[in-house]
Amino acid sequence: MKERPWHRTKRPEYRETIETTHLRLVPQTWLGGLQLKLKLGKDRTARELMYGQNYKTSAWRTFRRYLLQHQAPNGCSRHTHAIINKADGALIGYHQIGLHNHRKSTLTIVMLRRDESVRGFAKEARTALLRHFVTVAGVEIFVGEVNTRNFASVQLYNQLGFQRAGVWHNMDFDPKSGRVRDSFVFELRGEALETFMKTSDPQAASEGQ
Amino acid sequence: MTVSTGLEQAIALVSKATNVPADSVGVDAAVGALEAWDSVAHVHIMLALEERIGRDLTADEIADCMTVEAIASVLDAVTA
Repeated sequence: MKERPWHRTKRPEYRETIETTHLRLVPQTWLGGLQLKLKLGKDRTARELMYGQNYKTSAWRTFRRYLLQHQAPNGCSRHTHAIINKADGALIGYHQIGLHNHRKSTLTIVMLRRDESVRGFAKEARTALLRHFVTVAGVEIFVGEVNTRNFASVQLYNQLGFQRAGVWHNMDFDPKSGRVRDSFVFELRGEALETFMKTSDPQAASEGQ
Repeated sequence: MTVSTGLEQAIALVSKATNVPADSVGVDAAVGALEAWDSVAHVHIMLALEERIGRDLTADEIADCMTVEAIASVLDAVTA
């Protein structure tokens, strides 16, 4: 039987729940992905999260967007984790990792809440998930694309040790200002990835104390 | 009247956004080095910087403004 390629192989390790200091990262099914979209449609769209603008939406429109555009988690090459606060059990966001050929992986994070109570949680969640997928899947390159106006995400990528690979010009329309915006492409690979794995190791940190 | 330099203004911006006293924000303060300089503080710093210089930051400036020195150089370029 022909062996499936690396990024299309299902592994039980991908479906593990990950525990961090403050968070529980729970893997989602395609239904979870739909819930994410419905949640975003009901509360705030991803664009609204980014620009703080209100868009009219409906369950049907959200569902149609999910069918047409959303990269549904399939437990194989696309993995979505719900980010849940351990303290109160509240859902505070979703993180998606896409596995591609050549051991490359792309990242998306959506935080449903952005206030003082979730400060630092995006970094904690992303760090844990990057470590997990390097360990169990052997990812060698992480790639992230972010709107240049999304200062928080730009800072997060820098803080995690991602390096700027380039700029995609005129990639996104900003309805708030009416301008077309650029996007950064960040990548984490090679020595930078090794450094990230060393510095973010929770065991090494606890032994050092 | 004393005119503050770009560096002083940059330290003041970072100090206000991170709630860290200006004396404790060194010239070498940067994302990752200063613990209080998290993503929320960074958004405040960038928006305050844009307000100060009166225009949107370019993509290169946004990518570079991860240190006090880089922010100071943007402020200096405007006042020069």
